[in-house]
This record gives sequence, C-alpha cells and structure tokens, in this order.
Amino acid sequence: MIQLDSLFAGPPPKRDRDAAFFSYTRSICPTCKKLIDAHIVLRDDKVWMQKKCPRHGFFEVEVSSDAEYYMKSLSYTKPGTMPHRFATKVEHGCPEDCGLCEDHLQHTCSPILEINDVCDLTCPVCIVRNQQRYSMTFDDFKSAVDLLVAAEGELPIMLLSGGEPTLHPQFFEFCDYVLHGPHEGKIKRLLISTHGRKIAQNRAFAEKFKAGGMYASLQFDTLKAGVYPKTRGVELIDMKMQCIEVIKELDIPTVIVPTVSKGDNSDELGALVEFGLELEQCSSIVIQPMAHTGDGGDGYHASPAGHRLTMPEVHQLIEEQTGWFKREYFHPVPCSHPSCYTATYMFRMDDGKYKPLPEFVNIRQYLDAMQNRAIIRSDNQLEKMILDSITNLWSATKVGEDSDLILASLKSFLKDTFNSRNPLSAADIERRTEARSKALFIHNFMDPWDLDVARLKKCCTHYVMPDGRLMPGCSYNNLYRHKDERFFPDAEPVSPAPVKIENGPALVQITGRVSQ
Amino acid sequence: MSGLHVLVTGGSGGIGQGICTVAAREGANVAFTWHGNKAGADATEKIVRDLGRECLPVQADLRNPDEPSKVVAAVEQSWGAIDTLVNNAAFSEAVPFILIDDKDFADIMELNLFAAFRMCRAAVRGMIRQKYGRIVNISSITGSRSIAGPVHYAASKGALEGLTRSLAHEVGPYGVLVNAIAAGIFEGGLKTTIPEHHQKRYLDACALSRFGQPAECGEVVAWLGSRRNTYINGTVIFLDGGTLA
Repeated sequence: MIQLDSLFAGPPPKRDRDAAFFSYTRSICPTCKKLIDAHIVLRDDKVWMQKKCPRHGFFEVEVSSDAEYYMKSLSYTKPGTMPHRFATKVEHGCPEDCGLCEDHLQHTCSPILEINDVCDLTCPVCIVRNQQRYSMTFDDFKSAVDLLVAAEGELPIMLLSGGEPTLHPQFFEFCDYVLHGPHEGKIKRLLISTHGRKIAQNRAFAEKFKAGGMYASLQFDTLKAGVYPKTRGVELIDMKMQCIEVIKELDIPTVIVPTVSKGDNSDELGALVEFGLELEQCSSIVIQPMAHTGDGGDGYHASPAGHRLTMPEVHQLIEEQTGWFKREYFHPVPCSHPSCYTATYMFRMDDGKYKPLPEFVNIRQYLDAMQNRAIIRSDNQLEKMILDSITNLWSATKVGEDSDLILASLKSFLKDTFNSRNPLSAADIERRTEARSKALFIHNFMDPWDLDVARLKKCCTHYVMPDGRLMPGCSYNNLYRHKDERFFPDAEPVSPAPVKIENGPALVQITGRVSQ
Repeated sequence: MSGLHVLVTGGSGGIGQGICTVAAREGANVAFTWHGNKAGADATEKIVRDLGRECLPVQADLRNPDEPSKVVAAVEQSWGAIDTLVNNAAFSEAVPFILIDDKDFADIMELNLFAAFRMCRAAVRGMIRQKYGRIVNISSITGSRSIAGPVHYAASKGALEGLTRSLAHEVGPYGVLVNAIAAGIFEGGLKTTIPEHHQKRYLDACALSRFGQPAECGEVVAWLGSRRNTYINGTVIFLDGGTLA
C-alpha cells in the first residue's frame, strides 16, 4: 500500500552533531591500540575526545571538565628546549619514531629509568606490566645514565623506578653511580619511586638510603584504612604511616605521590595536600589521576569512564576540600603540554603556613620562572620575581593584611640562607630553599582512552632506555612497553621500528638479565 | 715578613685563613681572632704552627666595642708589638635594600666598619711608638663599584676605604702605611652569601674566569704588610682577576 504522506514529505531534516569541533589529533583504539584519527570537541562546557576505530567502533572520553580552563591553558606555552642529541629520525611520524625523534618538541625534564620489573605488590592502579624477571645490569645502567647526560648535560631530577627499584640487588650501587660517579653534580636530585616498605621495615636500608642522598618518591594514596586494598591490592596503611615516621626520624627528603581514582580516594585530595604541607620532609606533592594502562590499570575498572579525573576536576576538588587552596593557583607547567602538568609553588611563611606564590608575585614572571623545568631554582628570573614582589608589596599604598608577614618571611629566608655567619654550600642553599618552599603538581598521564599525539609531542617525562633512546612516558606506556624485549622477550618487535640517527648516540646492545 | 708580628681578624676560615697561612710561610708570627668557628680556628693554628711559627688564636666578638682594644692588648702583651694588622673580619647577608632596617644596618657596620676602626685605633698607638706599622683592610669590589650586592655591606666597605685613605694620610708620617684590598669573589670568602647565578655573572666578567683563592689574597696582604712595602700608602688595590679593574 502506498503511503501518500511519505510521497509528499520532504527529506528528513538534517541533524547537527552533538558537539562542536575544536581540533584534530591522533590517538589509538583502546581495544586494538591501532593509531586512529581523533577529534577534540566541545559539549556541555566540557572537552571530549571522540574517535572511531574501523574494527572496534566509536569511543568518547572526557578530557577536560572545564572547557574554558582548557582553552585558556593552551595559551600557556613556551618554545621547547632542544636536547643536545636526538636518537631517531622522523620517518614514520609520531608516535612511531620514539625517541626522541628530531621532531619532538621538548627536551627531557623528568627522566625515568626502570631498573627492574620485580615488585612484591600487584597494584591495581599500576601503570606498568611487571613480569617479575628483569633486573637491569650495572653496565646497562651506566650506559643509560651516560647517554642521558650526553643528551641533556645537566638534569634537575632523575627518577629510578621499576618494578620496585629498592628490590634491585645493586640498588645502592646504581644510586652511587648517579650521584657520585663520573657525572657527579650533573643530576641534581635522584628520586626513587617506591612503595616505601623497605624504608619502613628495614632500618639499615633506610639509614643507607638517607646517607646516599636520595629522595623517596613515595606512593601514598590515602590517609585512611580501606583504600589501599582497592588501589594497591592489600591494606598498606600501617606500613605507609610507619614509613612516614622513619622519613621524619631520619629526615629523608620525600615526594608524596598519590594516585587518585574518582570514587576511590578522590575525596581525600584536600587531606593529602594538607598532609604533604605538614610533613617537613616533603618537598613536593605529585598527584597523579589514575591512567588506565598497564596490567593493573587495564582491568581496574570495567569501564574507566566514571573513574577518570580531569585536571580541572582535581583543581576543583582541592579547592572544595581544603577551603583555602584556590583553583586559580594552578597553572600549566610550560615545559610540557598544558594538559599534562599543572603546578603551584608555595612558600612557607614565618608563621609556618604555606602561601602559594601566585598570591603575591606577578603571574607573568611566575610563569616565566616556571619555564621548561620541573623544579623551581634560584636564578635571575626567580630573583627578579621575588625582588619585584618585595618591592611591590612594600611600596603599595594599600597594604594587604598579609603583606607584612610575606615581607618578614622573605627577609628571614634571605638572612638565614645567604649569610656569611652561617655559610652554606650551594647544595645546602638549594636544600634550604627547598625546605622553605613546596610544589604541588598534578601529573596527568594518558591511557589508551585519552592518548593524544599532540600532547605526546611536547612530553618532557621520558623513560630512559638502555640503548640510549628516550621515550615520552605515555608513548612508551601505551605503545612500546608491551613490546620491550627486556620485559617481554617473546613479544613481536615494534613495527615499524624507529630509525636511529647514524651519528646520534651509540645505541648499545641490551644486556639486561632475564630470569625465569 | 720574617720575624714580624701579624694580627689578622677573622682568621678561622676563608680569606682570613689564607692570609694567616701566607704570612706564616713568609716568616711571620701570627695572631688571629675568631668568633664561632672553633674547628676553623684550630685548623688555622695548626697550619701556622706546622710552618714553624708562633701562633696566638684569640676568641673575640669584635662587635663588642671593648673587644678590639683587649685583643690588641693581649697580642702586645705576648709579643711586645704588632707590626702588621689585617682587618679581615666581616659579614654579609643578601637582603634587598627595602628590607634592611636600622638594626641590620647597624649590625653590619658594627663588625665591618666600627670593629676595623677600633682595631686600627688600638693598634696604631704601638705602631707609632715603634715608628713602624702596616695596616691592610680587606674591602670588596662593592665598596667602590656599582654592582649587585647588599646595600649595607657595600656601604660598610665604601666607608672602610674612606677610612683607609684618610688614616694613611694621618699616620703615614709616623711610619704606618695603610692600604686596602678590594676583593672580588673568593672561595671560602663571602661567596656563600651570593646567589649562584650572580656568581656565574662574576665568572663571565672575570678575565681569569674563576674565583680567587684565599692564598692569593694572602700573597697581596703579605707584600703590603711587609717591610718591602715602603711607598704604597692609602691605596685600594683591586684583587678580582680583572673583573672590574
């Protein structure tokens, strides 16, 4: 039967897409890891990544809960710094040339060297894939450090990771090579990414750790019982607090590193920040919203959608939960992509409380002082910023209620630090400066859901390979780790293989010990 | 300096220790003051004695107005006379001008200027009596050049140079020669009060691209403070590796 209405009705009305296009990028399919096109789009004042895999269909993930912040953050950019040497050619395009290829837009601020894949925990939030069999040889370690120094010259920090690096049988020899070997003084701080068990429970180890001059980068997700079983697989609260006591007792410089998953421990962000500020030995707090990658992360949540925390959400939660730490204090660290790192630096006042620098310094100078580095250091820019803020506070006709306290605090710091009656070595000055200031970082790793090649291009957190390559962290975790022959000797090689530069750093034969 | 009796203020470390060392090596008996650095004072004493010279360490807080004359009296009582006085004790702190209050200013002047003045006044009596004396004041390149440095410290050193010139004119006729050394940045000196990036700027400007060594200051002091110096008087000698000279 003929429907007359349908004969005379026009074509169906066109529909708008559900989101406004903002930019194009490349990502991977969360299922098969194939490189696919992706769109960054705006909807409901939020920013989303949309992508379609020919085999596995459409994926959408929220990348920012605040579109306005996202747009503004993209303006915080500075020219990247070139490393002394690149390792690979631009051949296949990002991210298949890692690295660093000549097209990479930033040098290495935060190198990570994984010295084993042995760990006595199996954390659901772990972003790596421990196979419990690899321990780096001392020769490989030396090569990696040598090539890193050749590429960068000097480095503000270096992180030894794993696995659990403190379980490596030559752990202290490795640390000694970094801090007191042929490159002594070139790597300013050596951080050890650790669960803290050996520090907590082995006094001799803890004392040797302290004597070695390393920093503990302590995984520290919660202040209450019941959370670690979710994030780390077992209850660790007593061990962690025991570790903190040893850190206090031995005065071990420490970075507090909470991995935060929405609904699991996101209600503790404020408390964790306050805890880090209270802990004298804590030089910085690095909050890592959980990335769903690695053996643990892949399966932690059946659907990670409800557990993702975007950068503005973290800022907002910290503001809400502390009641005083405003979200405006956070700014993207210009050395990385604005969506990867935000930070606030704080200064301890004479009354013992910390005041975020953005409250009393010129924000443009502040951003310049943060340029291309992970750690704020005493230099011309910083001095100018501090002197200008002193002058401006002092000369202001309307003196804020805190002005006197800020000025007195800056003065007492200068008198304590640069005073010939109590001469300090350069290292002591840096330590004292660090003791008087703290940094709060949010480090947003990517997983297969939100991997954005545009962010990879400016990554400054790099894994150091024993063959001399430096791999942008999220590129390695998502695309290379499961094919790394150190950890997966039977895996198929990376294809297409990155092409090394002939006159670049000598890529050395990997000789890591593999035990079955 | 063979057989001379030398008194150095602030001899427990840095430039002061370098001065004591060279003076002893050149044959002088060395008295020096120290305040808080016992280990440094012990080290200086050992250096001087190991060189076969007499040594007289005197603990004193030279900011106390009574102490300089007591120090001079103690040395004169032991050795009869002071031939060479080196005013080296000083301190500095990196505080911007607008945060310097009266107490900060007075505190730095008390040691860097008033103590030197009082030491000179106490020692010059014996020097005039014996018609021989050498005074060397350790100043700084901030004393007469516009460079980054704490205002109160620079003022104290500028004043010390004025004292040097005028005193040289007044006591020169009695055989007492007075000079100053405008020191650049020296290892172990006030270098620790200078932020690292300023130290780098100094090195960039220094023709020798390095900091001074305490013994290099000691060498100049040893000559100015010895019998070989008979005509340099009222002069400020720049000792900075060619940074500002």
